[in-house]
Amino acid sequence: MLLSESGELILLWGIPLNKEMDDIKKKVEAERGVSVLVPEMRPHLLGSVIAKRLQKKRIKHVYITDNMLGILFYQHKIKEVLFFYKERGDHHWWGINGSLYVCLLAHMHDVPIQPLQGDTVIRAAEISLSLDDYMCFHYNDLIKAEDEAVPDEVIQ
Amino acid sequence: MDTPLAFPVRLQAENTIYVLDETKLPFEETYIEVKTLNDALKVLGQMKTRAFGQVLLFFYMCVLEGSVDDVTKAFQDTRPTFDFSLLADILKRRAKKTSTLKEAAESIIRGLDEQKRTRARRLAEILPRDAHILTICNVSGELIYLYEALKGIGKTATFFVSETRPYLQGTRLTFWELSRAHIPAHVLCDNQAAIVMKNGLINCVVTGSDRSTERGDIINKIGTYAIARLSRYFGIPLYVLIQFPSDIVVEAISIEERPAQEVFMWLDGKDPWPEALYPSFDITPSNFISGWIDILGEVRCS
Repeated sequence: MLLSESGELILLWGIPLNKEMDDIKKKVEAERGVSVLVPEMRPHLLGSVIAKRLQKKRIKHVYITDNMLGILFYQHKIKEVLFFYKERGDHHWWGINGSLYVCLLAHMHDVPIQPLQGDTVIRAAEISLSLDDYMCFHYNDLIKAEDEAVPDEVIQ
Repeated sequence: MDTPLAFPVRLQAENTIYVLDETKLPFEETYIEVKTLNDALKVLGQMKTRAFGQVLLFFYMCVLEGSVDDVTKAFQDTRPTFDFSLLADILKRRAKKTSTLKEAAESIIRGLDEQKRTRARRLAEILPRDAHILTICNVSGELIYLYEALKGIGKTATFFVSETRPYLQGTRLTFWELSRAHIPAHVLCDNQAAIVMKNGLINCVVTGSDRSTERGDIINKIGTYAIARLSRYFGIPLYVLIQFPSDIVVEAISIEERPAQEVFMWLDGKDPWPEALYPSFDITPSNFISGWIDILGEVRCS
């Protein structure tokens, strides 16, 4: 699919609970030409798991790598972010690795973020990146993936 | 310290170009023989080489074909975002001062490597004493030159390399070349750019650019725009290595969109994959850039 063909997008970040899937479907079907945007969600490639769940429910969706979000915000393709957080506390919303990246980009582009209670258990994707094992150099290392806190003011 | 990525394309034996297959790195270092324009277009279209490699391939292919215009059109059709017309102008201008196209191409290429080293030295002067540099994609060996230049003036550096999905140029090329040169580096998922900035791990960003305008807007690997916006948000300076800025409006440049199946090419898994988008570049407006260092080493700061 080309960018020009993609229509408006609802960005999904985090792991929706099963009960949320029907609401997502209603949202997408309420407006013509709208699709769910599913980023890859590295490092665990959770996007591939979510895409399968959307497929099962016949919810229209399109997949991207996480670093493609910038151009989609820049081109005003994303109308809303559904942020499935893990927990809330101390004026912060805790979500999966990359949550701060996504929410800050949405905030900077004035795209509304709807926080929704998401799944707290990460079920690893059945696929992996073919380099993940190979790139364990002795001298250098990888930045550890951890849950990230998003301040209230970014969500609002 | 050396890296094959600093000079990934070579002309040998008068009629054969050897192209480092960057899609095979870091697993193997192999070279593809290119003898015809069709060979070159195949290599280019399949992303076997890019960045400085495609500049070298363009110049050498003009030498093999003995013509500049046909090669320019074919290259431009294959990779629409990169400005091969500008390279053609440079080559034609130089050819007026030399007796053969080959002499012209070789003199430009010799100059480019020295210019890249000069540019690295100029950038090193600007960066912090203990530079913690976030970078994206791969700038064809220039980070190695930058590290040497920083060391030469008593500074230190640690690189934070964004993996640069889907082709993983950050992990496969930059992280690999820094690691084999024993230069301190960490690799991060593209979506960790915000958290490493927030946690104070980064004090500058350095990136290359595939195109730039005289106004200072750039087009570079997908993901650059997000990093630029985040670095501005966190007050971290972003410096861009630019080649030959052109007098053009950035929005007029066509953004290459590659086949969707390439989004999944480094994943161990089976079809069917979901429908996907793959814009391979993005635009970063000049107001999110702190400084530009051109190929002659000239520095311009916002």
